[in-house]
Amino acid sequence: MPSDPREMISLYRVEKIYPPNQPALAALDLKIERGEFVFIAGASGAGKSTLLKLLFAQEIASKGSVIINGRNLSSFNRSQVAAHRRSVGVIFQDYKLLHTRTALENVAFALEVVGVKRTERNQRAFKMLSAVGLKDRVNAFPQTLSGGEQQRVAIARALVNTPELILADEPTGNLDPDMTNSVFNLLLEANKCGSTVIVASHNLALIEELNRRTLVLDHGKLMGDFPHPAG
Amino acid sequence: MSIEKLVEPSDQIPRGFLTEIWTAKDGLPRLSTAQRWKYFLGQGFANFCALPLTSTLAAGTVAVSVFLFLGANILFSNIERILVGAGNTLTLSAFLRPETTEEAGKKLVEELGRHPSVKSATYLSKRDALISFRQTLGSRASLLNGLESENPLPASIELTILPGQNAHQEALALVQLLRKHVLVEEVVHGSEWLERAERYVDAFRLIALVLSALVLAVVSFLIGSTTKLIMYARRTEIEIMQLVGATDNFVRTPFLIGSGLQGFFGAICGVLLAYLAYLGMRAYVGGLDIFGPLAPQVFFSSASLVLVVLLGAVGFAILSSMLSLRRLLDV
Repeated sequence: MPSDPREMISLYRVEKIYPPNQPALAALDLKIERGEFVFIAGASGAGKSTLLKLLFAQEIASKGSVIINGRNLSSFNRSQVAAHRRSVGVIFQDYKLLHTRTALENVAFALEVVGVKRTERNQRAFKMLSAVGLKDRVNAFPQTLSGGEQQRVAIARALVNTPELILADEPTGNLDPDMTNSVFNLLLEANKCGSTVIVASHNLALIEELNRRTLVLDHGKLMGDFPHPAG
Repeated sequence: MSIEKLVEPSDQIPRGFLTEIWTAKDGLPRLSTAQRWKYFLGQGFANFCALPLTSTLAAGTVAVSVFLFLGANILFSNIERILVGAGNTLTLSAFLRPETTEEAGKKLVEELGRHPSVKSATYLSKRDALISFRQTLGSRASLLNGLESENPLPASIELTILPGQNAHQEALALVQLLRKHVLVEEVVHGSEWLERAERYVDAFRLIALVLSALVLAVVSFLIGSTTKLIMYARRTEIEIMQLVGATDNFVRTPFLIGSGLQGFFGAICGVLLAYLAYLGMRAYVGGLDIFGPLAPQVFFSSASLVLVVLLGAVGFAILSSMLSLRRLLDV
């Protein structure tokens, strides 16, 4: 159990080795408090996505413990993993949109699996799509959307559930500067509303601009932890 | 560029927008249990229709399996009914030696009438035998003219065996007994063909059982494969469902319903096919000359058996699907 109630995420000597023998994370120790906005920086292959996957229980640590809200993720059964995922909003690097569903249905999908009624989930999904500037594209299918638009649909889906933890893997990789500003505006606002936000990015200019706590990974090792100046 | 500048609200995203949503985060109305099942049923139908050809093939195999099972049941239960009917009226004819007097014959009838296996014993004199034969020949009875003075037909004793499970054995025991009797020349009985017919029925029943088991194995394989194919076609959807927090039951239930529907529709078709076969069988047996006006009535399977078969097909389809899903839901 966490000694500090503000503590949300703790990693103790976490290692992740992909078969046959490819290390992705090595002896990682980390603590993230509730309500923090954290960047994970590093080059491609540094282990940023793997770290997010561990926090999301898409991968299990090979060694060490990943503790979220005082509970060790590796001890979770399948229904506990599902419950954990429902409290997390993830913006995937490859968007993971359903190509047989419209933008609105894709966003509403996150509410569908938790059993929200159709009218309410469509209303909420419409609001979220409006927020990311896709009000006029709600009935478009993903294959007819540009990369940036698809990314915004993925962002809307991650936020529509009002998650307590938001994990974003390169959330603005395909967006122009204006839309990047808009998306970070949303993430900062969600953070202000109480969500803990963790963003993996290799866009150092953006990280410098926002000036938040930044963890730097290199070859799976934590090379630096630069706190938020105001924190 | 400062943070403030970076997070300057754009035209598209109004600042403070999320606060409204976050404030109302617990207020979203959820589906009731009935609405949830309605949702699952809709998804189940969608799964059933996702691969129409494969689903129809799986349902078709269920239909064949149910048809074979019910068809065999109708055939054998009707044959059995006829055999039991024949067993209930199992008779023996003991032909007496020519020198046997009527008095001695009647005395033997009295003795046999007291035997525990015998329901009734009737003495048939030479004269009665000739009258009976004339009646059998009907319009051609004139062939027997002139035989009254030198009647070649022997006097006999007609025995009806008490119906019961051991009627054949008891009839056979009685045959052995009568063959050793000094007054009896020959014994004719119907239990031999009955026994042979029962042996054939048992053999065919076994063949039908083996055939049904084989078809059942094919059904299980096909339904399992259909589930896998549908899951493969919708694998991205399933993966995303699980990544956004759907429980295994939420993912699994529509697939199980889809398989249950394959079982149900297949079983309905199988029952209809069996009913058509039954109508055909009834018309065929009714039209056979050998039975004349005494053609046996053909019965369909009982309603309770049909219900058990329907439920069994649905249950079996769900079970087959469950087994193949168990290995596939691991994201």
